[in-house]
Amino acid sequence: MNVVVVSPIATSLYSLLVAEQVAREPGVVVTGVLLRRVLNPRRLRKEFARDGVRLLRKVYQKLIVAPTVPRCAPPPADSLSGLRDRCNLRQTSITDWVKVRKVPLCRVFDLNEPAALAFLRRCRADVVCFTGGGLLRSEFLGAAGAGVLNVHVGILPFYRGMDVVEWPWAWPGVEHGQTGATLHVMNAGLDTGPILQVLPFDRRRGESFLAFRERLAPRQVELQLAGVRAIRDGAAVPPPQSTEDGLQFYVMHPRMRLLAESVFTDISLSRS
Amino acid sequence: MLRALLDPVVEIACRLLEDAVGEKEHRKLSAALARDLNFSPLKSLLETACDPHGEGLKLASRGWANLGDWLRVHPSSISRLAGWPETPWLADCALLPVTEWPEDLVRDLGVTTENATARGPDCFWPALVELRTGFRPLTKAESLQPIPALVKGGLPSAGVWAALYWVELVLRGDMRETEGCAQYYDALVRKFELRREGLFSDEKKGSFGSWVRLTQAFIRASIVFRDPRHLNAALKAHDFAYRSVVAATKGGRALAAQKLLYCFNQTCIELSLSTLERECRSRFTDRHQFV
Repeated sequence: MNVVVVSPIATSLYSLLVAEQVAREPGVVVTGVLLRRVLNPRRLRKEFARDGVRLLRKVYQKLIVAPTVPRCAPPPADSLSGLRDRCNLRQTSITDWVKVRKVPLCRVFDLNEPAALAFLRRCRADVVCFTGGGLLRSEFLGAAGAGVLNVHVGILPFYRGMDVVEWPWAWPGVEHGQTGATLHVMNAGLDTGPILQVLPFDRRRGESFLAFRERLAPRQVELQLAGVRAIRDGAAVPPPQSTEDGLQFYVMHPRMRLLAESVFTDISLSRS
Repeated sequence: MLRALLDPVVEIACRLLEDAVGEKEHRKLSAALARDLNFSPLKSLLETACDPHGEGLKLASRGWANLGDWLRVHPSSISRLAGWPETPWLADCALLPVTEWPEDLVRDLGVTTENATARGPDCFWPALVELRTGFRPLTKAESLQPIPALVKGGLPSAGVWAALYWVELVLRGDMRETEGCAQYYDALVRKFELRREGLFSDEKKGSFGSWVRLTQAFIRASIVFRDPRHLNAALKAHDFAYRSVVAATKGGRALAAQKLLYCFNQTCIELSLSTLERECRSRFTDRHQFV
């Protein structure tokens, strides 16, 4: 079975680990990696409108700080870095990985541009593992064989959209106050595709959202792998979600995030 | 070596950018207000008036009336609170019976001895604030225009009045909470989240009045539908109102009443946030397990 991995940025450890784990799976070949270019004015403009100044810090952290941080101590076992150590993976970027593995790489400004679609067809993708990079149009989804697998870091179908690790903690009205991840096959809607697996994941006392997300990340790799296995073994794809089963969430305002984090970490703002 | 050079540069760049878009300044002011409001008479008054039975904040339905009440008791405190100059006309009006308000106001508001007595002075406060801030009062016809049509194109500024009034009717109990109203607000939040400044289609876009009304509409909607996503949208709309009022202050055009309305929305938001936090905390600490 041919798999193409879509990566939002060359240094994404998540993309790297998904590619490596999938490549090690019997009966599966990674036939291509589709990488989105970072220096893309349209992408930067769009993401700045969404994230504001925190985008600059995020880019700096991902592109400059993360790759240059010296390794003084072993990383936590339940982090992506820990998983990389367990896999004995030496590469630090997907671009290094494709050279070693001799896998074709295609860099694009936009995942929906013709070059990306042509690459997908050349790779004869039976399934695509999406690890980030923006919204996909129906043409892309249609060229992806059995479909595009995505792990959403929230419990579907209820929590769709952005910041869904945070939103359950600012949502008192319903019995859906859970965090976790969901493996689904992407469709034209936002996080509305058929659900393959839901993985509830609990917080630790005093843990920050950042630490929680770091602990959840290796499970996202496992879910991607589980999806590839399920499709390889001929598992039936369930029907799409019903629109009414969930809600669309948007980027949290910093004040709302502060509130959610205070509930999440169980530390009252008034007591701190 | 590279990090040592880059870290401060990036930090300075981020700060400059935050200042440019007003984020940092806004956060500072919001934090200062939040601190002050913990002890302010306005907060306790609103809490008492709005949450007598612990049913959640009902302040949106009574907000303007409370503003009037509060101003009558503490006419200058709100200016002190925000460090802004006094607002003579508001203070004057707050201390006088409605019938003794300046003649032009009485005429423009349609105040008579009869209706002032029958309806109570509070009912004139919304109109007074609107009149003095230049906001066009909502007409009955406007309030009843077909709202879903407004979501199709950009939203005309007047549409926010309609949105505001619709949700207020629900709050007052004059109208049943309809599916249409909920869907409208879902669509409005979605459009706002995706387009932000592009939300408004007419020449009033970006005006302080548009943003302050939109903020108030989202606050009220969050109470009606018990939906924190609307409060999240209110926070974002409030940011735009802030930028607008800062720009007006720098240009010497800011009306004291504009600042007051900004401050009023800030108070509503703080109260809504503290209520939400209380509800979330009581729900999760009791039921949710840690690993």
